[in-house]
Amino acid sequence: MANLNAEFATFDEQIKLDWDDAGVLRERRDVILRRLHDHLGGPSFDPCNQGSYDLRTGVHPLQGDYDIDVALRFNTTIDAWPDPVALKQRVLAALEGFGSDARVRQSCVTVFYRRGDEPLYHVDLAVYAHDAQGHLHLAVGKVGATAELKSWVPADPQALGDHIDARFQGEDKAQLRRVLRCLKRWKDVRFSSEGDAAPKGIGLTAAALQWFRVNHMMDPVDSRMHYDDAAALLAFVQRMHANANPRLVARLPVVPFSDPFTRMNDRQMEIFRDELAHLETALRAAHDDNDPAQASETLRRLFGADFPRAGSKPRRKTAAIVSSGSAA
Amino acid sequence: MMTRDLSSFLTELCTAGLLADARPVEPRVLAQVWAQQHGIRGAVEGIARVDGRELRVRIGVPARFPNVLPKVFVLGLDGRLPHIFVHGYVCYSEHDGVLLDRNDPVAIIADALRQALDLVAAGLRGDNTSEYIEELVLHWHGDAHAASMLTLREEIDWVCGVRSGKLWHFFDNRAEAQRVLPGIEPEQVLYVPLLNVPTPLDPFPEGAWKLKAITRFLMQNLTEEQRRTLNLRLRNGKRTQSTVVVRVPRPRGGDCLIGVEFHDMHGDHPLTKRSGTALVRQIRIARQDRDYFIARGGGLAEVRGCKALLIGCGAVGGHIAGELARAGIRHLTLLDPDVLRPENAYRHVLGNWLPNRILPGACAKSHLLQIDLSFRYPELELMAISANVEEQLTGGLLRLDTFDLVVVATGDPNVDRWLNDFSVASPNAPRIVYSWLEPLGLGGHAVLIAGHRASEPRAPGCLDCLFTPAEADRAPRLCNRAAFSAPGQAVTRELAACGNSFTPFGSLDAVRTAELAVRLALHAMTGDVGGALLRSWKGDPRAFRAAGYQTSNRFEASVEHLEHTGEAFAQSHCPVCGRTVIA
Repeated sequence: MANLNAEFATFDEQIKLDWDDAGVLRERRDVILRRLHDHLGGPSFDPCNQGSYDLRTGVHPLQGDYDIDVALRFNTTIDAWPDPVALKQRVLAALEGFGSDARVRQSCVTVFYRRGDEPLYHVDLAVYAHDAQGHLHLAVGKVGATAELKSWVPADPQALGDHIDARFQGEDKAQLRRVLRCLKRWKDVRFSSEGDAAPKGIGLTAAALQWFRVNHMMDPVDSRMHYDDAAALLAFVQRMHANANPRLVARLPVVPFSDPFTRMNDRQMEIFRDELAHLETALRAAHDDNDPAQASETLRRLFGADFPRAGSKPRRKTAAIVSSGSAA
Repeated sequence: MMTRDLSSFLTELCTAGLLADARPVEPRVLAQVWAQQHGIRGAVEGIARVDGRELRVRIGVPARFPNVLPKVFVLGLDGRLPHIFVHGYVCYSEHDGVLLDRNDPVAIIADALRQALDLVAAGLRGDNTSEYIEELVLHWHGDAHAASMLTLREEIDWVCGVRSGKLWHFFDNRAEAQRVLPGIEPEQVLYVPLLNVPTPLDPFPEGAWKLKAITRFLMQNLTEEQRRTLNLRLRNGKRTQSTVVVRVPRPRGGDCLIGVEFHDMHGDHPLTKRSGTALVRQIRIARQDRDYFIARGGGLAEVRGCKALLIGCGAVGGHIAGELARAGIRHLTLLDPDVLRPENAYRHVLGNWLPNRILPGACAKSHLLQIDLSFRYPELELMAISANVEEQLTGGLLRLDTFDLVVVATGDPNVDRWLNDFSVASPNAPRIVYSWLEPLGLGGHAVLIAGHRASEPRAPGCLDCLFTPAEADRAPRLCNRAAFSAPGQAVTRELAACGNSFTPFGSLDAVRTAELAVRLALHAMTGDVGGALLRSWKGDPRAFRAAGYQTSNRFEASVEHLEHTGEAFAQSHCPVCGRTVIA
């Protein structure tokens, strides 16, 4: 039985996108927000992070196109802006002459940064306004779209984070994030990034809130708590696969209470289901493999080259010479 | 009791209704031998009624009363009764282990009198004649005295005696006699064990026993086969004197020894069919054999034949050696490559022993410990080796499977883990107890690893399981999971220069760790615990924390859990034992 938890820990360190990694993005975000404050000409807004950046479930993209999601909560009402795209265009106009390529997209205004033709990173600005009851709505729709394709969709950029905070604390939440990051990297490796071929990160998060269970054990000797990420991941994947019958439905527990997987067509869902089965089989095979090196090779085929190769001997992360503190 | 108080107390006793016609004993009577022998300061005398008989009774008040029991004397009895001795002294209670109501001395006297009279009544009815045998040693009139190192056994046999005037020493054989008392020629002595609790003579003799009483007592309690054996061994002898040691099983368990010297023998030996004549001298024998001492010292019968190896004779090992000896093991091999360092005098059982002061740093710990133990426990088989355990075992100079028990107290986890590897890989290995302590009084640990044989399944668990991280550990590191000290701290204190470092701990820590290890070993030997078991004692952490160190999570566990319940710690994925466990 191979113990690859140390390798999973290293893998997570490799793929994890945290604040330090996103320093440039953070700077760009702040520059954009200052620009909007200076040039928007009203209404005013309160910014906050949202998405994987906010949930700390982001991973380094394979192609290097980093992104950051920022919510602009405007201090106005959807009644004052019956055309949601108009408010998005107001944002776009404020960024005009900013020196970067900005476009109104379906759910946000995106500012792209490139080096030559190569995309470097982008900042997604989601536009929100309140209804008469004070609930937030997301501006959806593109420029020139018909009225039916433009709408204010109920949404709350911080609700999902609050929900997670209420259900998972401390190291339990850290394990949830690690498992989600692991699956996000798997998704990037195994699925095409075109269209809706790949399951969305928000979909995996919604699935985790339904089927993920924390897996830890207390060492009875040294009373240390150990989080078994490999076991937690396997159990989560098992449950997702078992519930993909034939489609995986994972409704968000917060507004808009939707299923992020609905945009996948049946063929895409079938591929997703097959990949889940494949992942489950591979995780189980790695777990049952007595040779850690071979087990890690199995997982590298699913998680990519960032998953470390294990040696045939157990790895220690600390020194080989330490103070024993014992005498007789 | 003060004299003035004593006088009024005696008056109170006389009016308490304990005895009829009670009156204080006159001072001139108190000057007699009976009172002097028993330290009586005052006494009352009167009549007590026992089973219809009127008996004259004296109640003696010793000087230390009521811190000690009063003495009761019954006068004018015909013949001998159990528990009643010279001057009518009634031994009605053990003197040790009693709690007296010192605030009510009259009640103490009343209880003492009741117990004494109950005993007299039982004796008069003949209910307790077996008690003669229980206390035979006390009734055995002692013209001569002896100390016996004899191993009690079931066969009639010749043993050795060394005589010095009226003092004898008895040994199993000539070699043992000459080892303990060199230079004195031993004599042949006959050892005769009674196989069952003997029937006392009726009437039971008072004072010195005559030849006829002795031979009758012995012959009537020997089996037919024993009598034939004695006849074969002793007939046609031309000796004029003979010494016999008799083993007497006691009714309440255990055995006593009595001895007889036969002098001026004419005709056949008195213990043969055609008994001749002889003069006799009784020998009172004090048992000083190993089995007797061990049983008295709380030792365990189960370990008497045990052969143990102690690896590491330092502060902990030194105490372990002594406790193993006192537990009653038969053989102890002491193994340690180091010399006794004077700077450790105040935490090592040998202290700064004289040989070490004369040749400081030149005496091997193992040899010094051997010498020390051989003086204290001459019956213990000892062997000392000043060498590394690695070279002894790999060189075949020592074999683990020749021992019943190995106790390890090297304090060096690297040596311990090497030994663990070696023993797990060996086809046969005895049970092993590893022990070590932590600095500044933080605590100590003992780990039992079950023994194994090639032909039997090996129980899971070895020392390395403690060094094997939990399977789900995401950040495995090199540490002992049993440690009370949080990992990653250097707690060895440099004293002077390179090579002079030491770990700060005291003698009490060593004693406690040794006790933990030996108790675990003995529990394993008696079958009370098995498998792989970890026990730890935890001390006061203040000194440790004040020195800037941190304790581990395990230190927070309860004393009950750590020290008494213990923990099974086997890891199925242990790289040493995990793959070799036979299901």
